[in-house]
Amino acid sequence: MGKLRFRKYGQLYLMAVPTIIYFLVFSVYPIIQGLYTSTQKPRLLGGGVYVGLANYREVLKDRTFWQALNNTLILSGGMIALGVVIPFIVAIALHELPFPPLRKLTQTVIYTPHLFSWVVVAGIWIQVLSPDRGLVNELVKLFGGKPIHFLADTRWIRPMIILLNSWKSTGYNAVIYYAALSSLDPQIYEAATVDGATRWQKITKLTIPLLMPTVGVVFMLSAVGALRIFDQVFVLRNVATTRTINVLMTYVYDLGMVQFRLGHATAASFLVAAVGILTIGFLRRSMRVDQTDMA
Amino acid sequence: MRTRVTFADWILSAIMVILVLVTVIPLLNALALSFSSNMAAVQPGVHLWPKEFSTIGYQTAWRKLQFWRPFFNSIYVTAVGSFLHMAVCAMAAYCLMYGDFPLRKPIIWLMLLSMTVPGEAIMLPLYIVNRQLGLLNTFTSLIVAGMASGFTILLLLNYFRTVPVSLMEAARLDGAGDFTIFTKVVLPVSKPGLAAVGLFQIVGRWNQFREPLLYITNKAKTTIQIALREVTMLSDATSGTDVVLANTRMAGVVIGVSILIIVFPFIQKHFVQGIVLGATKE
Repeated sequence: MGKLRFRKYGQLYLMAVPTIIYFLVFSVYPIIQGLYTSTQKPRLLGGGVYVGLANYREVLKDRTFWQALNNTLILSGGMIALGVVIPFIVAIALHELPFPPLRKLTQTVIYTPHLFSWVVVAGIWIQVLSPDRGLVNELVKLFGGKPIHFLADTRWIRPMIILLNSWKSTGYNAVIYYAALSSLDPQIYEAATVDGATRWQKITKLTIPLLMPTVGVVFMLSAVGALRIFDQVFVLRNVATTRTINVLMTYVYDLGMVQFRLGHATAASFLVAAVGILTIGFLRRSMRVDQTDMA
Repeated sequence: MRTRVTFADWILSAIMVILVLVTVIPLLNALALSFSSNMAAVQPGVHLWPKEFSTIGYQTAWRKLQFWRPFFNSIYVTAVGSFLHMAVCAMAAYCLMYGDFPLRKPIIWLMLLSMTVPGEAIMLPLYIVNRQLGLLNTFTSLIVAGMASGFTILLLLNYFRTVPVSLMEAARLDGAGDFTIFTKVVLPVSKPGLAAVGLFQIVGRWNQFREPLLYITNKAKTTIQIALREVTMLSDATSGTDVVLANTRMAGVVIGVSILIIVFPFIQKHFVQGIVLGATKE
């Protein structure tokens, strides 16, 4: 690199400009703009008045906010738990499977839903879970049960959203684990075989310990997304379930885009972002994993 | 390594088959319904194969519900947006290769900032910015969204670093400027990285939902995911004269993943890079 130093940077400036302008206008400026908006109260005739931290205080007093936080923690807790554990088991099963074509097929198939939008996933599952003529309820009826309103019943909706999240993301997380497993040196396993280790011993003494650092990565990736849950709730909620599954980001959306209380809404989203960044920073420090390690 | 197929192997295979079925059956159900006639679509029973084969669902979705419009809108936004994203990020990554480039530090700081603050947290400020710039109800608002990304720049930078410095030096001695070195030396060597970025951009932009939800209210400018959501939500409505049947809704779903089906065979090669790129949107 040293030899490259003596040169003019004319063309480099031009190449850097789009990125810099983009980040200034769509990352830096919105943060400033948001901070400004969050301290304003709209006046009837347009414009706003500076109200200090009043919007933040009102958000903290809003029961709907705490309800949304509660729902967010429950849903994301479930999503993280299933998102870490199920793909872990799936990846070990993939690793152990002695039939490469079946392994490739499974890996490819279960990865597919990760590429679908939540609108598509919801579209498919609203149909599959429909109380009249839905696939699952046809089976329920076959066994003599009554149709269940999976997506309209407050007792079912939370588990359903967590399960659908798992359906969508298991393959993706399994690929992360499996990538870690396939980068392991096969000689370790050969050595264990020579030493007379059984298959079960190899799984518990080799595979699982070697996979532990990746658990941290998958946990972090899931935790980062936790406070940001939006699409899945937005496309799956309805009048009956809104109170049960409304999360922080749908709360912010409703406040800002439906009730047009932009000051409140941005105050809420900044509170969430601050808590989120602090939590992630804390987790990252205590677990010593970083997404960029994987790049 | 193992030569004997044991009982445990059969259990493992059974697990795999169950995983595949759990994934495939809902998809098959949607596909079968989409090719069913109006009569078959409302009949009870398990649909895993079209009962009375018909494309009426697709015709209704495409013509009556006018899916053709958001479909082509999304293709336009996806194509232009993905291309610009790759171009902008690749140029930035190239700049970062030079340790003493004066704007290197500022770019890195901006990247870190954008990667720290989640897009959802500034979703309303972004709406305000787009309004101030007069971008509401334009395709530009959707194309510009996510035009640069720290994750992409880092991924490309890793690829660019594999280009031998001697090769770049040789080009420079031949009188090539930075832009020529970038397009003629660095980019061709980094094709796999660019392919991965491009593929995941296509997926992400085709699936783009929050941005059109916020920025687009004009029906003529709407995108495929928004159109699809309106149709699938209708199933909840008990009243209304326009009942959208299951075959039409599922045809909408198939149209909603159509572009992904084309991209998918290429995606498989890039599963692992997708982990890094996919981390930005979940």
